[in-house]
Amino acid sequence: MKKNGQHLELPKRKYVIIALFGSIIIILIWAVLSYLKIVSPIFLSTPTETLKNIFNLFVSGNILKDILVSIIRVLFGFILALIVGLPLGIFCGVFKKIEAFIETNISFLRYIPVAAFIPLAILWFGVSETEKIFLIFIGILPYIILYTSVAAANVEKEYIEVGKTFGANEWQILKKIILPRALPNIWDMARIEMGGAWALVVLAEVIAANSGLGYRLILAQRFLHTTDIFALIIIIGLVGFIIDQLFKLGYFYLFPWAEKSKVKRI
Amino acid sequence: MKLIKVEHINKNFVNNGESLKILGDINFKLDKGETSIILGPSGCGKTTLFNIIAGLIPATKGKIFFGNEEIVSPHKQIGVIFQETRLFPWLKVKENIAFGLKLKNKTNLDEKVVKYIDIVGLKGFENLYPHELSGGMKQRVAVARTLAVEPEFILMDEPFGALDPKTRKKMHELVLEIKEKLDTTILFITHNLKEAVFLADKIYILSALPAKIIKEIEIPKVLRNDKNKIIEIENQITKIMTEA
Repeated sequence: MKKNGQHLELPKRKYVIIALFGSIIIILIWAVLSYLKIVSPIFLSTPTETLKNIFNLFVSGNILKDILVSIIRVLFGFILALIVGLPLGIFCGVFKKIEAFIETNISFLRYIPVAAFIPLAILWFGVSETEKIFLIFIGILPYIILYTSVAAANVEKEYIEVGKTFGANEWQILKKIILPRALPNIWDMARIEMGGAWALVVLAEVIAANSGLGYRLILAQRFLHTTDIFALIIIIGLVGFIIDQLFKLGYFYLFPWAEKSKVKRI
Repeated sequence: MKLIKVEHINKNFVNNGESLKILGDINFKLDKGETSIILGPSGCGKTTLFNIIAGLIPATKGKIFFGNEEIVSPHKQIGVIFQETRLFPWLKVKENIAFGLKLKNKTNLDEKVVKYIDIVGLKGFENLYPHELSGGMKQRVAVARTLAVEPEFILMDEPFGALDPKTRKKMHELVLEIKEKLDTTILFITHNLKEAVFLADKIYILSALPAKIIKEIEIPKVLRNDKNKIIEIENQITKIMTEA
């Protein structure tokens, strides 16, 4: 809920209780539908069976290897997109000429669904690691450029003026003011884009792969192992959730000043 | 010796095709080592004048000289202190103070930082972030950050306007102390009459828009402890400002 553009504060304990309650409701609905066989077991497995299957996947199903494979693919695509996107985004946010040069291309690219690139990626790179990394890269790059440029463009002019009065040149202002000020916001953006990358890797693996979580998913569907599908979906969600929490933790660790000085977040 | 010359400064702002005259022909010269105050009512263009002298915005007409150099962009020998402190929230106190020094690759950096932390009385707070400081302490850091690069001329725009009276008084004493120790030339902008009389060697009184200097008043140093004379000057200035 918002009031005057600010989130109304909610005590942490209450927040956790409500969050738990929200999850329990979903599990309850799931339990009722499955245990009472309102939906056939072929389409919906029960919570206990799913839990048992998650356990089995870890113990005897070799799932850890596939989790790692997917994570490594995501990391490659994600880091590559950051290497290309961060400098472009920052320059785009700071220099109007570069913005004019890039902006149209990005807006165009942004509206092409990644799925549309899959045939091209397979044609260019075959069903390979490169193909999957390319899909992740192309899928999140436009957003990384866009959000980074917004973060850089929104650095308060007051700070830039201070830099000028101390005789800082453009490069120094970029390095010593714009970058450190924008970094927490860029980090936040990267966290959101990591979620995007995680979704893309599963998509790429569902389409064409011989390892990874998405591959295991499509395998389970082929053999009609419904409980495996449910177990895998939950594992995918959990891994994503853990990555997200790591990013949040990193924010507090890397930018202790940002949260407490209540600087503008985008 | 005249350190700063402000000659025929005019500034118009164009808004929706209409030109609004903010500054109408401002002229003054500042002596080296002197503290001058620009005193004027709120919204009279003081900050605009400040921004022009700082080299942050251009004048519509007129010129400003630092020595013989014309000011067209921020000058390294002109230190600037803003009302809102504008400390960098991502830097600790000592890093904020070292900001200008680092840009200049000064060799005895640590030594200088320690020196100015000492001058503004922030010993023991070096490793805190700005959000951990009170308003007065923040402004001390901002003063130290500017002093650290040892500018010949310091420009201040209502730097203590947001502080409570007690803290403000302490900051005034700090300014006098700095002046004594470092012999810096200061131009201080304020709408606070008592502050002006307390700090000034010379006061320039600005009119309402378009701003012009309507009176120049010298305040002899010997008067600083003569309460009756100070009150007399304050009354005189009040009269000038209300009649203008």
